Amino acid sequence: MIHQVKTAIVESIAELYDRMFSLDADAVSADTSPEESDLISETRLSGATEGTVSIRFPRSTARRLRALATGAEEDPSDADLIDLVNELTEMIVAGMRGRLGPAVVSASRPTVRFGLPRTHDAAGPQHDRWTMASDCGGIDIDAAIRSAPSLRFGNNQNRAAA
Amino acid sequence: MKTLIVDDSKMIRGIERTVLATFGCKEIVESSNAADALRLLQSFEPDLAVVDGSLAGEGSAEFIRAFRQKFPRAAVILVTAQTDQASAVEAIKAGVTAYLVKPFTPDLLMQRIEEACGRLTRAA
Repeated sequence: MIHQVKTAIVESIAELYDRMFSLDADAVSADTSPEESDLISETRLSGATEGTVSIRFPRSTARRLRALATGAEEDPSDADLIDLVNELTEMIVAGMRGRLGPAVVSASRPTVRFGLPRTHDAAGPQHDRWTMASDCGGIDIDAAIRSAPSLRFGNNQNRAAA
Repeated sequence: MKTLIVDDSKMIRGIERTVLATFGCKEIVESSNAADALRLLQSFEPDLAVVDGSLAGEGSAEFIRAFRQKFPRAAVILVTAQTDQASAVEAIKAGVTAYLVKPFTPDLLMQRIEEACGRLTRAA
């Protein structure tokens, strides 16, 4: 399932960058260093698939994207950057849900903060991390998902019945 | 043409304002929520409203119903995310003239404004 989620996120970001910024965005191996000044958005997934999608926007990337979107040249405030990351994350997640089907994934509204990304338990959910690279710099995506407990329980029941 | 923009995102309002200005709109008023927008409408009579499809609080459909009661001949463009289908249908029933799915290009927004204003002109 993590592969479908990743593909849906990659396609959603590529569409978003193309339409809003006239930029190409490509998935590459994660290759960036987090900083305290980064903006982190987190969206909780529920439904048949549950988990978290975290997106890390380096401040410089967020500033460039905002300048491209609005044409504004002044230095954006922290609130402006949080607004940008919140709105972009909502569109990315909406695009992902549209591709996976709302029955598979429903999503919370994103929370956005400055700081370092959280670390995931490697033995926990299925997990993938990659960078979407563009001429405005990269953003890091971290997706951690698993099937919902009811489905796992259902699978056990099916096996018991068999 | 007098235009009202209602969206909780400053970035989206900025993009919409830029496109509307390119289209020749000179009087543009913005609000980040439905309650403030309704208050603005006591002294501002728009020909066009560009409304976010996921307004918190009173919600987009409620706002559009109230807007329609006050300005039945004005055009309303609903801007909605790909998965806001249920709320979009409710808002469309409340009386939108055209709708636009995010993420959108400036050209697409321009096209919707032209469509909405064309309907406005034909209805007049």
